[in-house]
This record gives sequence, C-alpha cells and structure tokens, in this order.
Amino acid sequence: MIDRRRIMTGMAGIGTTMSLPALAQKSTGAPVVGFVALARRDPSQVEALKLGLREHGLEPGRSVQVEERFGDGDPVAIHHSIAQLVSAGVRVFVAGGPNVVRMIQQQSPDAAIVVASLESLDTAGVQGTIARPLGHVTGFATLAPELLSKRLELAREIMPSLRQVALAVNPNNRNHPALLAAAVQAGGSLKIKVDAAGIASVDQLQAALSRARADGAQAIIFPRDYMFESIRPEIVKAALESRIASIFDESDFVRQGGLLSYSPNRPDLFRRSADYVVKILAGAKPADLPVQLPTKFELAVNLQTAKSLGLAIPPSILLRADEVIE
Amino acid sequence: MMTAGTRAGRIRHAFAEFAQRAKGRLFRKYAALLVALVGSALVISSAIEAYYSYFENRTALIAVQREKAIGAATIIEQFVREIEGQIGWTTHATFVTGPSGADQRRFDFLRLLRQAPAITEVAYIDPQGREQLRVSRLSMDVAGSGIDRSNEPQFVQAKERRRHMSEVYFRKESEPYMTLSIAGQGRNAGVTVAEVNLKFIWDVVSRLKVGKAGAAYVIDRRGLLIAHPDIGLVLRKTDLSSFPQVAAARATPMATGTSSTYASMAKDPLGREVLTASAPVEALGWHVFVDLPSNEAFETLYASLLRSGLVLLAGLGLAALSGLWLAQRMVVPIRALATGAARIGAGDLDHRLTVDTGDEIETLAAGFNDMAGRLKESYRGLEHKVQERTEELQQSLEYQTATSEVLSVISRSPNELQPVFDTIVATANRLCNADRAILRHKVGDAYPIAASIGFGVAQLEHLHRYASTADRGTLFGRAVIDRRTVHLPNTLADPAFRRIDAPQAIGVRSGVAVPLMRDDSVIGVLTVTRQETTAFEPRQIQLLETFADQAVIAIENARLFEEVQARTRDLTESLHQQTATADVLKVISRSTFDLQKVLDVLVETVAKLCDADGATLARQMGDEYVRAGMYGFDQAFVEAARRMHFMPSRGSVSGRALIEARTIQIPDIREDPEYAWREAIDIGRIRTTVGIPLMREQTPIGVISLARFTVRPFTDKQIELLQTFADQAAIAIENARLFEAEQTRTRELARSVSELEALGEVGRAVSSTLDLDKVLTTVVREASDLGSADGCAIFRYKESDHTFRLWQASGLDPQLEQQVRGLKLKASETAMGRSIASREALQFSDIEAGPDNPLRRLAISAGFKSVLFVPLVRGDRGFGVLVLQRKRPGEFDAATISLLKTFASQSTLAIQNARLFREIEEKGEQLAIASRHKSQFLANMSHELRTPLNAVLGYTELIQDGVYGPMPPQVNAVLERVQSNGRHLLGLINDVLDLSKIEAGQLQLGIEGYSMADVVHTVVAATEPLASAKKLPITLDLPAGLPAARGDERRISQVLLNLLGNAIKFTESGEIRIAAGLEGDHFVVSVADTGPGIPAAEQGRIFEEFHQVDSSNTKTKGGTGLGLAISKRIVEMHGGSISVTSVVGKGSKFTVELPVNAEQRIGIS
Repeated sequence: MIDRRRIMTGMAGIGTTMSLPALAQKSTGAPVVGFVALARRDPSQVEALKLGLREHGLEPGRSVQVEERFGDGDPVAIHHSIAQLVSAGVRVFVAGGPNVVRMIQQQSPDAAIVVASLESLDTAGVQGTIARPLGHVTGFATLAPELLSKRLELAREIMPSLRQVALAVNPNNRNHPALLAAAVQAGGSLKIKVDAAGIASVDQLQAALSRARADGAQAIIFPRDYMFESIRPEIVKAALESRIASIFDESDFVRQGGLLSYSPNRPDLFRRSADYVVKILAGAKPADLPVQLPTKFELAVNLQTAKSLGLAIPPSILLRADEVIE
Repeated sequence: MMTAGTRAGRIRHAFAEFAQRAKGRLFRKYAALLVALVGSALVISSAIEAYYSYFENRTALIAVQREKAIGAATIIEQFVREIEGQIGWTTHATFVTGPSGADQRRFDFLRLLRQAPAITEVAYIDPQGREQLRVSRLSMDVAGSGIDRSNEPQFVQAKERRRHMSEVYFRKESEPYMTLSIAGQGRNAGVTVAEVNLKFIWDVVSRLKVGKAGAAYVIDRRGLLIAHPDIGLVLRKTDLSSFPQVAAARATPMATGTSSTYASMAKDPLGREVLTASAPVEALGWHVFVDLPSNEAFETLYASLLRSGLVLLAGLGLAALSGLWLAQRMVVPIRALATGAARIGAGDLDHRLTVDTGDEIETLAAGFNDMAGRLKESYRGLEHKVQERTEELQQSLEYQTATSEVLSVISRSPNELQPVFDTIVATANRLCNADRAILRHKVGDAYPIAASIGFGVAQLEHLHRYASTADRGTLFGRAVIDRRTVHLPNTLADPAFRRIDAPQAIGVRSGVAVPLMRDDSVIGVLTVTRQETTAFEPRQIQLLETFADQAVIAIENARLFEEVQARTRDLTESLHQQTATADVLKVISRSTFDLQKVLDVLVETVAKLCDADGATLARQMGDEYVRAGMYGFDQAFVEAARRMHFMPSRGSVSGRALIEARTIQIPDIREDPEYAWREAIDIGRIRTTVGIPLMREQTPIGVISLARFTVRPFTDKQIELLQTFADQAAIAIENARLFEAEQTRTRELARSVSELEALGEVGRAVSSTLDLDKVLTTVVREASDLGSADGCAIFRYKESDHTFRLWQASGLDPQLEQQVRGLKLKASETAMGRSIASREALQFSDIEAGPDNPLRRLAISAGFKSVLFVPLVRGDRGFGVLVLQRKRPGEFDAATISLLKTFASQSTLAIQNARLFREIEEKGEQLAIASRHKSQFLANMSHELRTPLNAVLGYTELIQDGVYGPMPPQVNAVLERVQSNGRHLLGLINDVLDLSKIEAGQLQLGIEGYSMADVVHTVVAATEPLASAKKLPITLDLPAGLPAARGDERRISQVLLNLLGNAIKFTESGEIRIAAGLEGDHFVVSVADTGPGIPAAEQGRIFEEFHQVDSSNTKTKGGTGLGLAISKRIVEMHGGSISVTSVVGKGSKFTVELPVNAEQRIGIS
C-alpha cells in the first residue's frame, strides 16, 4: 500500500516531463510484446526470450516487436516505463518476476502477462491453481521456497559445521516474507538458525553483511530479488570481503565469485516464456495456459571462492554440479 | 362468319409457329441427349477413378501414419527403457553394504540424477522394505529414515517381478509423473524407486515431425493425456478416454510380439478433423497417437480430384459443341416437312411436299401428301352432316323451350292448375303438329276435361257428355286401363276404336294418349289427336310424356300447397293458445308469493282458454281438500263449494281424479250413476266436467276441474292444456310452500347471526381494551339483548369477606340501580353464593322461590319474575356473578344459558387481564425510577472516582520519572504495579462512565467528517504491538476509494478498538482479519478471529452489560464486560447495527454496519 502510494507520487513528478519513445513511429503492424523487469538488464534473459520466439518462426524486430524495459531495481522508473508501453497500446507482457505483475495490472488490468520467473503465485496475483490459473497471468514457477531448503542442504554439505545462516531480505520485495518463513522452517529441520539480513539498497549491503558475520552467520543466502540482481558485482565483492559464504539462485553470481547457486535454469524459463507469448499472440487466453513447473535445475560452484574461504568442496557436490568454476 | 381468307391465314400462322416451336424443341432434345450421353460417360469414368484414387491414397496415408505411430511408440519405449537401464546400472553397481555402501549409493544416485534429467527423485528401499536413502532435486536428501514402505506396490511388485511401473500420476495436480521401481539382483537385494517426470516425454513428442501441422501425443492406460506438443493440455490433466480413437486403441488387446495399430479419421484433442493412427507402447500400456490434419493429409488427393474435375468440364464442353452440330444437321429436312405441313394445314390441300432424303423423313413426306388428298374428300361429306345435325338441334331446342315454358308457368302459379293445364295443351298441340289436345284430370272415378284446345263449344259439350269414363273405345280410356302411353297411328285400322258419326263428331284419324301417373295410379290423361292419318314421331311421344310428368308435378304442387296452407292455419291457432298460456305463466312467476292471486288467474285463464263455463281449484289441507279458486259460477255455488271441505271420493269429479290420480272426464254428471254432489247439479248447473289432480312427486296436493253448463265434452287438446295448467298450479303451490319454509329458516339464521355478532363484540371489547368497565358494560348490554331479558347485571364478589356488590348493570331504571348499588349482600343469604360455590348456572323460573334477601325484594317490587345466575370463575377464584332477569315467569332455555356462560367466561378473562396489566404497569414504573437513580448515581460516582484516581496516577508517574529524586528499585517496582492497576481501574471507570452517560441520555456524539480508512489504519496500528506480542498476524482488507464519512470518529475508533482488542485478547493462535467495505450507503466493517468462539446461546447476550462468555475468563482475560455493550450503544446512536457470527472452536466474527452519513439518533437504547 505504502509502496504504491510512493510510486504514484513519484510518477506524477516524472511522467509529464519524459517523452514517449519512438514506439509509435516504429510500429510496423507487427505485434508488440513488452518485456518488463524490475532488475538490471540481463542479456542472457533477453536473448533467451528472443531465441524462443525465433524457434516459433517469429523474428524479433520484424514479425514481432519486443519492447524491453528494465528498472535497475527502481520501481518508480519501471512504473513509468510500463505506463509508456500501456499508453502505446501494448497488451502482451513478459514480466521478469512477480513484483512487476501488479504494477502492470494497475495500469492495464486486462493485459495478458507471462511471468518468466514466478517465485510466488500470490505476489503475482495469480489466482486459481497452477493447472488452471484464473485471470490474465500465467508463467513459469521457480519453486523458490522449496529450493531454499535444498540450498541450505547443499551449503551444509560444503560446511558440515554450518549452524547459522543469514537470509538477505529486501524489505520492498513482496516475496521475501514468505521466503524467510520457508527458510526458517527448513533451517529448523536441519538445526540451522536462520536470521534475516535486511538490505534495502546497495548502501546497506556492506553493513548488513558485517552485521550478519558479527552475529555469527557462517553463510548468507541471497534469494531472487530485482534489487540484488541489479547489484550482482557489488554483492559478490562484499561477500568476498566479508569472508562469508554466499549462496544464490542464479549461476551468474557464482561466475562472478559467489560460492554456490542452485536454481532452475533461468534463461531456459525465458526461452519457454516465448511459447506462451506466441500462443497468446495467436489468441489464447492466459487462463488456458497452465503455470509450468521447472524441470531442469542447475548447481554451480566456484572452487576459487571456496578456496579463499578455506572450504573444501566435497565430491558429492562436484558430482551434482552442472557448472564448476575453477 | 369468318371469311375463308382470314381463317387460312390464321391456320398458316399457327402452323408456322408450331413448326418453329417444334424445331426448337427437337434441336434442344437432340443436343441435350448427345451432351448427356457423352457427359455421363465422362462423369462416370471420372467418378470411378476419383473413388479408387481416394481409397488408394487413404490406404497409403494410413499406412504411413501407422508407420509413424509405431516409430513414435518405439522412441518412447526407448526413452523409458533408457531410464530403466540407467537405474538398473545404478542398482547393479552397489555391492557394498554398511555405511560406506550407503555413501556409495548416494554417489550413484547423484550420478543417476545427473544422467537422467527426467528423474526428479530416487530412493532406495532395503530388502526389509525400509527406506534407507532418498535423493531429490527439489527437497532435502534423506538418509536412513527407515520409513516402512514394505507394503507399497513399488516395493512389493518390484520384488516380485524385478520391475514395476506405476500408473501415471500428477504432481501438484499438474505435472505427469510415473514411479519406476527396480529390484536389485540376488535374493537379498533392495529396490530402487525413481520418480520420473514424464514432461520429458514432451521433448520427445515435440520433436516428432508429423507433416506440417500434425502432432503426436501419448495417453496412459486410463486415457489420460501424458504428452502432447501443447503442454497446456497435459498439465490440465486432459482425459481423452471418451475419444473414439482412444477408446478403440484401448480396446485392442496388447498381444506380445504383435504391434496392434489403429488408424482412422477422428477429431483430435484440439477439435480438428485429423487422420489419426495409434500404436501401443507395450511395455507401459500406453498408446501413441499420430495425428495429421485431414486437410493436410488429403491435400494431394484433393488436388488430383480438382484436376479430374477440370478434365471433366472440358469434356463436357466438347460434348456440348458436337451435340449442337449434329442436332443442327438432323433438323434441316424436318424443317422442310414443317413448312410443307404448314401450307397444307393452311388449307392449300393441293400442295405436295418434296423431300428426297431417302430415309424415314421422305416416307413421312409421302404420307403427308396422301393425307392431304384424303382430307379434301372427307371435307365434302362433313359439310352435309353438319347441316342435318343443325336442323335436329333446332327441333330439340324448340322442345326444350316448350318444356321450360311449362315449367315456368308451374313455378309462376304454384296453387293454380288451370294456367298450367292450358299451357300444356296449347304447347303439346303445337309441337306435335296436332289438331286437338285434351287434358283430363281425374275426379272420383271420372276423367272430366280440365283443359283443351282445337274444339268448338258444341264439340266440347258433346265431349263432356259423351266421354268421361274410361273404356277401350277411347284413346284416353285405353291409356287409363293400360296405364301406359297409347299411340294409334290410324284409328280406322283399329276395330275397337269407337267412331262417332254424329254431326258434332270429331274426326280423329290418329292420336296419342299419355296417362298422368302418381305413384301407381292414373290421375289424368293427356290426349293429342290429328284429323289425318299420320303416325306420331317417337320424339313427339316422348315430349308428350314429359308434359304429362310436368302436369303431375303441377297437380302435386297444388295439393302440397293446399296441405301447407291447412297446417299453417292449425299452427296459428295453437300459437294463439300458447301465447295465452305464456301470459299466465308470466303472472305466476311474477307473483310467486301471492298464491291466491296466482290461483285466481290460473282458473280464470284455463276456463277461458278451454272454452269452459266454470273452473275450480282445490288444495290439500291436512287430510281434506278445500276449494281455493273458483271462476264462472254463481255466488251461491261458490259459497257452497268453499264451505264444503271434501275427501277424495268417487262422488265428484275432483274426488274421483284424486282417487285415481289421473284425468277424469264426466260427459254429463246427470247421467253418471256414481256422481253424488247434488249442489253441483242443482245450484252449479254443471253438465260436462273434467278434473285433473295436481301432483307433487306422485302425491296429489290438489285438484283442478273445468265445467260446462251444457253437455259438450272437452277435446283432447283442451285436456292437454288443462294438464299444463295443473302442472303450473302444482309448481305455484309448491313454490309458495318452499318460500314459506325459506322465510322461517332465514328468520332463524338472522337470530343466530345476531348472537354471533354480540359475542364477537364482547370478544373484541375484551381483546382491544383494558378498560374493564367498558368490557363489562358491553357484556351486560349484549347479554340483556340476546337473553331477551329486562335487566342484566354483574355483581362483584369479594373473597375476603364473602360479599357481593353491584359492578355493572343494564336495563334497570336509574332509581333501582341506585338502590341496588347501595346493597352489600352476604354470600350465604343469596343464590349468587351458591352459584359461585357450585360453579354452576342457577335459575329460578319464579323469583319468589329463591332465598329471601334485600336484592330479591327490590327485584320483586320492580316486577321481575324470573332470574338466572351465571358465576364468573377461573381456576380457584370467583370474581362475581352475571345476573339476568325477566319480567315474565318461565325457564331460561339452554341456548340462552350457554350464551350467558360464554359471556361470563369472557368477562372473567377481561377482569384477569385488567388486573395483570395494572400490576405490570406499577412494577414497570418502579423499575424505571430505580434505573434512572442507578444511572445518575453511576455517572456521579464514576466522575467522583476518576478525579482522585487521575491524581494518584499522575503523581506516581512523576515519581517514576524521578521528579522527586531517584527511588530505590524496589519502590520503582511497586510504583510500576500501582501504575498498571491504576490504569486498569481508570479503564473500568471510564467504561462505567460511558455506559451510565448513555443510559442517562447524557452522551452526545460529536458528528464531524472522518475517513473510515484512517480510522481502521489507526486502530490496527494501535493494536499491532498487542498482536505481535501474541504472534498473531493482522490481515487488513481495505478497498481503496471508501467515501468520506460523517460520524463521531473518536467513538467509532473506540468501537473498532474494542472489537480488535477483544479479538486479540481471546485468540491464542491463528490470525485476526479486519475488513471494511461499502454496501449501499453503509460501511460494513468486520473483525474476525480464530479464537475459542462464542456458543450460540451466548451470542445474543454478549452485548448486555457486565456479561462475559465465560465468567472464568474475567479472571484470566480481564475487562469489565462493558466494552461490547458500549460499542453496541455507540453504533446504534449512529443509526447502525452490530452483530456477531461464531462457531465454537473456529472463531468469531463481529460485523458493524454504520451509515456513511450518520446523524445522532435519540432515544435508542
């Protein structure tokens, strides 16, 4: 509620001064798909979506127009971008995550939305069951709460003495309270104490990590968040500097120096989103398209980071790992 | 007449036209025939070719589809086999047991997950059926859980058959999965159980290319879709078992070694028309379907059909062209024929055709020429015949005209015969070229001449005299005797014919006589004669016969006409009679109830109508009969008859009619030996008389008689008329009797209606008024009226001293009433006491028979003769006595007593009602005063209590804040307790103050604008710490855009705070939900909790002051039990309402409805 109000007032200031992009001029009669994410632009996701479209014989830029808008973690900016797209008549959206769904629906309640990475059905406002979602939203679930327990387990396998873990939480992310609850519960069965480490912006990052370390956390789990996604290098750097094991749900963090990630193959989700986009453009209703569950999961581990933290990666992890960064 | 020229021209024209038309028709016919022949040959051959090519193509397509299906089935089977193989490999690899074996198995499983992405979870069950290891992609791995799975089919079946595949199931109701379990080798081997995500088959199926738009899909044993390129269908658990192709495939048994396939046209899951083929995946019991959209499948076939169609069209065109040419060729000689025929037809019969085609057409031309010659000859013969015919026709026409002339004369004069006869003889004479004609009409046995022509006066006279009887000497005589037409061509040749040689003799040389026959008798004769000997032509004889028939018709007509006239006269007469009768009946029906008048009119009318001199009517009176109506007689006889009441006897006509119960006519009473009534003979001078009994249901109730002073019997018609009047008289008498009975009944009814009305009035008085005097006044008045009494009173009984005093009275004169009012009667000295004691009504038909007392003395002196006492008692109590007095002696009948008893019980009821009401009123007043005192006291007291308490709290706080210097910790702890207890007390006092203010009517609402959303937010914010202390989440459902409202914001907040506070207080776990919304012009705010709930019996009472659901709660939960009472009052003062719904053990929900624009309501409590 408070979020929304702030966004609305923010809008009022900016909206009038910004000019519309050359969307109208570019219009070639090809259908337009808005690709909207709160996070920073991730080329691998954009490319995966376009690849998916090409697999269906749609050439982005010619037979279909993909309008990408990224918020770099700033809800006000993305709100404005959505307003532009909606006023230009865009009615089919690919949403990066669930948080952006409500923002689209506020401005265009009947827009068809495919959520490429759906951490929470509730946050995205998906009603009904995953097999039969009611309304205008469908997409690809990531099973985020379930996988949190798997990540804790993997972390414990690397650090058998693991007793205390921090879960990075963005207070502005609507998914995080539920994830925190899931993590605390999963920790309970593994006898690992899970605390929240609130990080509302990049400024609070270093302090939060230091505090978590000081409180006794041996590792920190970063769940998926538009703001965290937008500051990947800063997070990885801060974790390394704080000498705390960092666990992610996106392998790119590990490539940049994070310790471990376990998640569905994210580019794959964006590629498959194209299937639904094509169906919606052909006239299907989102309510007829079931929410799909992930089938492929990826484990990535960075040996260098492990070494710098003084950790030995056990063979069971190496056996599982899909990606090992030396 | 048409000239020969124009006629020939017209024929020629018609012929030319015909030839033109015929040519066109022939041409078209030939052309169509040729085209049809060639065309149908082409069409048939094309159709056969298309038919075979369609089936060949189809067979080929089906074969291809089958191959594809079998291929797909093989791929899917391979996919499953591969997974099976990988699991098998894992199970083989482990030989080691113990802890290191467990580690080894975990590595193996991890490796398995890496290699087989379709496996989501794999578990190992040891030979005893205990799960030892589970490795999952999604959830945490579990080692050594020891869960008993020995009864699961995965374990049991795998142990038995080494391998087990479960039915397909759906995870999260969406993802198709299958459990694959494989037992290790050796007797003591465990079982590996893998959960396989069948969505991976989707990859396999999607890769299968089936034409351009075709698809392959897989269903399981039950017909559920487990793989389809449109993954949405699978995830939605589409059940295809009802599709015919699926049903057919499932019905085919899966014999090992043979792969049964199936192909046909069907609809696919997306509803498209497809060519479908299926093949079983034998190892799994699944079926693979390969669908190719039928339009795509048959694309080439349709193309080839199109080509055939085009060739066919070209062929048809060619056929049309050649047909046209051939037809043209054939038509040329025919046209020459037509032209020639046209000339001949136009009358040029000398024209000859020249056609030399050497074929049938030439022969035809020769035939035409021949025909033209013959035509010429036959024309001549025809013209002659036409002339003959015309003459004959003219004659016929003349005859016809004559016949119709006669007919028209008949119709002109239906009742006169002479003009008809004259016309007939004149016409017959003229048309038969005769000299004379006679028509005789039978009268008696003679046949006088009715009409004649051709005779002189003398001749006619002679003829009249000479021949009017029939014998064989005359023409007409023979016709009469032979009863048929007689034709004498030559009278001289007939020896029997009588010739008369008198000077007046009529020279008849030849003649015809035709009898006029009606039924079988001769009623006349038509005779026609000539003076020369010429035979009559048959046509003439026929004509004469026609005339004879017409004469018969005319005679018949005249006879019938006469009969009709006679009947009409009869009818007119009887109509006259009926009109008179109807008049009488009208009088009867108009004056049903004045019987005497009816009877008078009746006897008078019947006497006049039946042409009688006098009439009498007697009615039954008991056993005797009395004359009730008389007409036409002398006064003396009337007096005598009226005085004489008689019994049925044979001595008079009336008596006799009654005895025999039938109509009796005595033609002359002086001649009748049994007749005994001398006065009728001597004074009445009656000679002929007739009598008819008046009957009601076979019983005589009177008698009516007619008399004539001369001997002249009454006709049947007159007796019939009299009968009608007798019936009417019976009805009139009966009506009068019924009317009398009806009147009696109505009077009775009116009486009981007035009784009921009186009762009703008393009842109404009892139920509508608590004014006892009014009720009792009504009772005595109505009782007096209905009991036909001269006075009525109610005496009041005082149980304490057993005395009676007057209460209410009616019908007594004021002075008497005054005197009675002064009396105080002892129960022992009056019959009223007895009546109360026995609870029975008591009556004295003679008032002086009762016990002596002052009241009785007063009553006797006022002239009362009889009295009735009815006690007013209920339960054990006697309230008084109802007294009814009459100024005539005699008993009161049962109906009056029962009525009075009813009045008595009504009075008792009224007395009791009044008494109860008075008591309640008094108590209510006392209570109201007490309540006002209480509220005032509480308001004052609370205020007085609050002031010092505020001081106590204020100072304590100052001490705690260190204003008076630092305090030792013990003191601070004590102060803390003082503070908390003091605040609790202050809360209590505030509540009491609020409530007492409301009750004392002192609370005023401060109505101003407020925002419901802000109120709710504020309240939630205020209670949030309490809730989080108990770990209770508060969910808030507050829609945007609630309108601005008016009300007392502070009081509304107080209400919501109270509800929310209660919810938190009574809920140990679960959650609190607060929702606000708008319904019409009301806010609906609800607070729901998951607390212990409120039993249904308590729900109504929780809004009462000082009430708590469980009084034991007071101790643990605190509170005054005033919160809800105050909330209710506040909401009601706003014009709203508050309610609760609750299920014990589940929670409670309080709902407040509040007008958006509230104004203070006064007087609601």
